[in-house]
Amino acid sequence: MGRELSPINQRRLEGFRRNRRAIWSLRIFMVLFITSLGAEFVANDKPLIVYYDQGIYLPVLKAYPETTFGGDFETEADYRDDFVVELIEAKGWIQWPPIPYRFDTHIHNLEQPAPSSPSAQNWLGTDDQARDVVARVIYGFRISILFALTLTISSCFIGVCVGAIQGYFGGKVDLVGQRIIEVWGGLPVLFLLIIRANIIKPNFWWLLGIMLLFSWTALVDVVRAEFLRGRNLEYVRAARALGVSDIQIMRRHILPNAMVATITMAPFIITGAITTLTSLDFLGFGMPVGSPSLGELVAQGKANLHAPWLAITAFSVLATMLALLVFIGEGVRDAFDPRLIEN
Amino acid sequence: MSEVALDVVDLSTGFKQGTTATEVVSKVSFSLKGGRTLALVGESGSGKSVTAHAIMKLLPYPMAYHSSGQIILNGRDLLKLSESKMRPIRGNTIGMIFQEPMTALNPLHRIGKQISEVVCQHQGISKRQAHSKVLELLGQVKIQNPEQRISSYPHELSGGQRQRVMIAIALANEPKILIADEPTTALDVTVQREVLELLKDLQQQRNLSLLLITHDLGVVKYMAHDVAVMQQGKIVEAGPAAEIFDSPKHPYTRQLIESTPKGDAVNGAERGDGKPLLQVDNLSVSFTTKTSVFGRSLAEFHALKNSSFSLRGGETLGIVGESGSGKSTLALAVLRLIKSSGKIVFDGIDISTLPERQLRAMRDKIQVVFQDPFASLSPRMTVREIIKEGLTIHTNLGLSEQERLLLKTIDEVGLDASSLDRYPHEFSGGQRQRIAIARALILEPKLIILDEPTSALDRAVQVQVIDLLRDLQKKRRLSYLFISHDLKVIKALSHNVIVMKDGEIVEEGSARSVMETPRESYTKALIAASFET
Repeated sequence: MGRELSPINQRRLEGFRRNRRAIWSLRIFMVLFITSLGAEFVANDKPLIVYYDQGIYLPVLKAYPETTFGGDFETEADYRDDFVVELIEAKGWIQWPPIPYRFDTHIHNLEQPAPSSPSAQNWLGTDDQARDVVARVIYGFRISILFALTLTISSCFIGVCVGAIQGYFGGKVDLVGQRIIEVWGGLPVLFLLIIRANIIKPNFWWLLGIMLLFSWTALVDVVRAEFLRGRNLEYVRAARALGVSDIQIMRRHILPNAMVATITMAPFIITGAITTLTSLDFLGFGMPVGSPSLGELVAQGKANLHAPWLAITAFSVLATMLALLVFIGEGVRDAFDPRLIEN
Repeated sequence: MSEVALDVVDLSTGFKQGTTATEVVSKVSFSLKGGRTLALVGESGSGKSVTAHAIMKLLPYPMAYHSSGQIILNGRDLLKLSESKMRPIRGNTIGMIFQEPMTALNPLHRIGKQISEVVCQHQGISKRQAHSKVLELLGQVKIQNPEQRISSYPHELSGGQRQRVMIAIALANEPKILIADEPTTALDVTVQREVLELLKDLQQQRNLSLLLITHDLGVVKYMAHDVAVMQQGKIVEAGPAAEIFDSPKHPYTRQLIESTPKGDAVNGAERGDGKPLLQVDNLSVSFTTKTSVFGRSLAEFHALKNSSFSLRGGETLGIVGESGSGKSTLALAVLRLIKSSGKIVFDGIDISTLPERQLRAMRDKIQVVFQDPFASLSPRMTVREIIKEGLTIHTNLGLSEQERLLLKTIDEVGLDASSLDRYPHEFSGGQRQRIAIARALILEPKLIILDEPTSALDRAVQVQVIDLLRDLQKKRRLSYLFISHDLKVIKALSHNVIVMKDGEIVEEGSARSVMETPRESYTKALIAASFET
């Protein structure tokens, strides 16, 4: 049986397409996101292609020892080293990515002391550790989005499951569940994060796990409400009279109703997650030192007020990213709103 | 006496939705004469309510529009009037009452305030003067103890009393014309009669012109001087009531008049083996309405009290009662969809204590068809998925065998095989009810519980569904537990009848003895109300 869109979903898609601001935001966002997924090919301190002595090498994908190009060491070639570049260019050529720096490349041959202002080499200047800001923004954007997407998908999954169980079974299950969530919601998240930062070395997955502990509750209430309503619908009663099992009823008959609320809220959970990650990084409780992060860039901007390109870049990137996501979210929300479609 | 009070000429009404426009009423003309009642009759979707709302200009303009027509009141065309000139006409010249008195009244205000609001606004008198006026109005609509009732909230009144309050509001400013949009449809049959009598009295006292919108020919016969029959946005026949009822010309009118459920229950020879299939003893259901801090129940509402009955194989047991009498609760309790106490023996097995898992395995033997065909089918599943769902749980047939059963069942309920891949919203109410019956039927149940299966349907469709149910009973030796508030429908299908009131069985017996020689006064009132209007 082909999975065609039901008429109502077709109408929603049509509604979303008609919202020009949302559809353009989605297009721009997808271009930025896909570009940032291939960040290694856009901004890297290793060349894309090296042609040396009749052979083609791809340093982005594979590590070659310096000896390959006639150098002295067995270690990986450092393509930023003038000596290596000279060796290669004697017998071939080098194709660099558009931005020849990685997020952690320290540039030694700056004309000004770091942070240096924008120039032809460093389009948005460098930060106070002589790292290229454009490269850091591209990698930072990718981490923010991936973090937010993973967090949103996992908290939606947990939230929908818990909300569904509470709403469908109601009674004591619901009562206990609600009380636990209330107590849980009262825990001071920031303190826990600060304490955690002193005990373990933070990384992407730790941070994700801890944020997930507290963000899954966001959806429980709406999903629970949908299931509370849904379990008394006549077609759900009919399904129970047919002998359909509880899990099947929840999945097949009530969940589609709750998905509207979930999908409508998801884009806003994403923006929330980005903001949270950024603020943690800003405070220094987020990603490990040296990782490319927008929050760290904001902190640098604050520390280096004489280098306004840092703060301006951080601000514009965050503002653009959040605005695009909010516009997309609004488009989705409106597309699911039956009243707006009728008009 | 017969000067024209309101003249509607060539009125067309349509709705715009995005770029598409649909005309729902086309070129309707009728005139309402002074002091007389004109009934606009038609089935749901025929455009009668839209026409009534157009007269009051209550449609959602500018999404609604009139491509042609005039509504002439005292020589002025209402369609051309501005909103500010229209306002005094609403209420002062034309009053209106609606179908559902609970939603038409504001639940947060006392009824006295709601009536005096209208009086003050249109007549510019003080609140104190309005008070005596309100009392007078409540007396006129025959509400008992008006001094006490004036400070009641709508939820403290019964449906009939609420409708009386609505009538009082509509008549507060002594309009010449009253539009009544299905005024009794939401009321129980015994109350319907009283409200209609009240309307009739008021009409005579005040020389009102009444535009009555209804689908119920019984109401029309009782009330109307003139009748206009609407079908699909057009008036197909109009004339004096007596003429229309005696010699209907249009085939649709004839169909409307003749479509009362007829026939009797399947007769003895075709019945099943006559062994009791379902035996219910002392079944009770109560809901806790108030709990103590520790969760102990302090007050309970008994929706069903110690009910016992039995149903033999191949027979139909009709359950009659007004809304709130516990008939639907009974159905849900027998299906074990709600908690109950008492004993339910089905086919020799006591299912009242059976654990959920074992119960689930035998659910295919008891099936249910609910009242609202719009709510009982999952809107996101195709008809095929809906009907097949039970089959995949209770059998492990191959796909081709499933398909064969599917086609056989859909054919049996009188639907086309092409409907299988469509969604429920593409079907009419009657067709949806057939789908719901097919979903129950495909499992080859022994008992089908029918919870008001026809009350959301138009008369003509009701008859078809009842004929279908009777045929199926004959062919498959099915037993029905048939719940309805409509005695005509019950009579057409049931062998035995039980009458319920306030959660209790007040009378039971064979269909014939209950209908012909009712013992209880309540049963008598029910029968009088449903067979005489």
